[in-house]
Amino acid sequence: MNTRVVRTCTWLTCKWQNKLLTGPDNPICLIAALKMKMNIKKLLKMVKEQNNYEPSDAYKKALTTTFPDGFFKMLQWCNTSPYKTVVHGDARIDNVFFKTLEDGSLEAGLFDWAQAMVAPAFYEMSWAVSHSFTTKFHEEHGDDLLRIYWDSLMQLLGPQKASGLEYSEFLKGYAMAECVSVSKCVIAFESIQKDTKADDYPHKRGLVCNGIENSLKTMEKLDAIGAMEAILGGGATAKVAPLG
Amino acid sequence: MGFIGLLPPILNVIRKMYCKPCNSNIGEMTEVTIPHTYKLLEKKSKDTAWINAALKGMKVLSEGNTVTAVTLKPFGPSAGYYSELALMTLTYSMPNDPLSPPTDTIVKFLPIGFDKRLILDLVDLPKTECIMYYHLLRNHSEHELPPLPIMSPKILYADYCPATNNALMIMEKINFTLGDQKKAPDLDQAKAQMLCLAKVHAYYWGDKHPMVSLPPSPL
Repeated sequence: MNTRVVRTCTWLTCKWQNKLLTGPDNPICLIAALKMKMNIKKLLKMVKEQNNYEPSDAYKKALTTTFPDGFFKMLQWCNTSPYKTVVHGDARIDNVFFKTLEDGSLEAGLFDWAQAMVAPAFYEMSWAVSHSFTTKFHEEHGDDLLRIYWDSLMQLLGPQKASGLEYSEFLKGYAMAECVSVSKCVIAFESIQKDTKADDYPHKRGLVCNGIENSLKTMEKLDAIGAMEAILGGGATAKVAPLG
Repeated sequence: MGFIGLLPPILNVIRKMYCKPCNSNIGEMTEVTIPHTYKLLEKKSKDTAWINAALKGMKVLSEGNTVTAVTLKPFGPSAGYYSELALMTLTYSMPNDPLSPPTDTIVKFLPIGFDKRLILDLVDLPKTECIMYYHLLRNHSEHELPPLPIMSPKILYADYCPATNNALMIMEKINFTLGDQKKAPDLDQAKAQMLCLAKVHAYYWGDKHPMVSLPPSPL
């Protein structure tokens, strides 16, 4: 076949695929929303058995209605965020390596950049903070770690770039992004349930349960339902409680 | 349109995987054929012709330096969930090359199995990873940007074929401590992780990145 024809077909199909990824019928959004509706109850049951944790009734309900129904609008809202940058996309501690410097301090590096994208920084941080640590560690240090990140970011950006950026607004996005983290957990849950006899099943189940518990506790603390309703209702600002 | 919208990208992925006339498998960035499976790379590693052409395309060796020997060992089929890994050791004609290319490397192949490959291809993960490594972690000088202020494995080869979606990466084998969710969390590690992310985000702050050309994402 003529190379030019092949290249044109490839270009056209890529354009089509790209349009879908960023358009209102984005298949990833549709899949994430549908899977959340279908499997969140099973996942919450597993979290209850494993971690003896369950979210409030309002959040149980919102996880099958408000959040999946508002998924695409929420992503559109994220797209207008002033916090956009290139994110790693899967900055869990498993994708981080550490070098001990001469003064004994640690320097971190990142690998596995397959999920890199231009996205709001809070999307990265919700996944990195809620899905790297145990529930106890997250409860004790999660807020402080996020504050360390924010203070370092503001310092590195300098006064000009940091002008107009507010921690309270960042937290609103952070609460929203936890909803995406929950949907990623649902997909991970489906994946591990395919082979419950695998040697590493208990470990993977533990990670998913810890991650979802951390995400849901953060969502409740930051009033993610309120933030989502404000977005769905076209509200300019959603009242979000400060961390800590 | 609903879930019918999934059909075009799925058909597109299948076409790229199985359509022979499109199967040129030439890398977009180095214009060298991509041996995208362990078997193909094993064949190419019987001599040093392919690896030298690939590394020349990546401009990672100094003038006059070549690979004189290659050894390849598998990591095992389940080493990575969305990838297959192998260990590759390279011997160079100039052991003191000022660009200090790594001798111990990790080769990252695409996963075996249609379902995993479909998920990866639908969201362009292999292409994204190649672009990130190729443009951002190696080629900052070409974009007149200072180097990324964090550590990342040195990349020797990263390329993908837009016609087939095949990809291959060869990167430095990291000898530092790896973060591990299985182990008890370490506060110093967590703080270093936060600082590292702040550095990356500050470096790329803003949504205009013409040099990155990452595939589109829903976010």
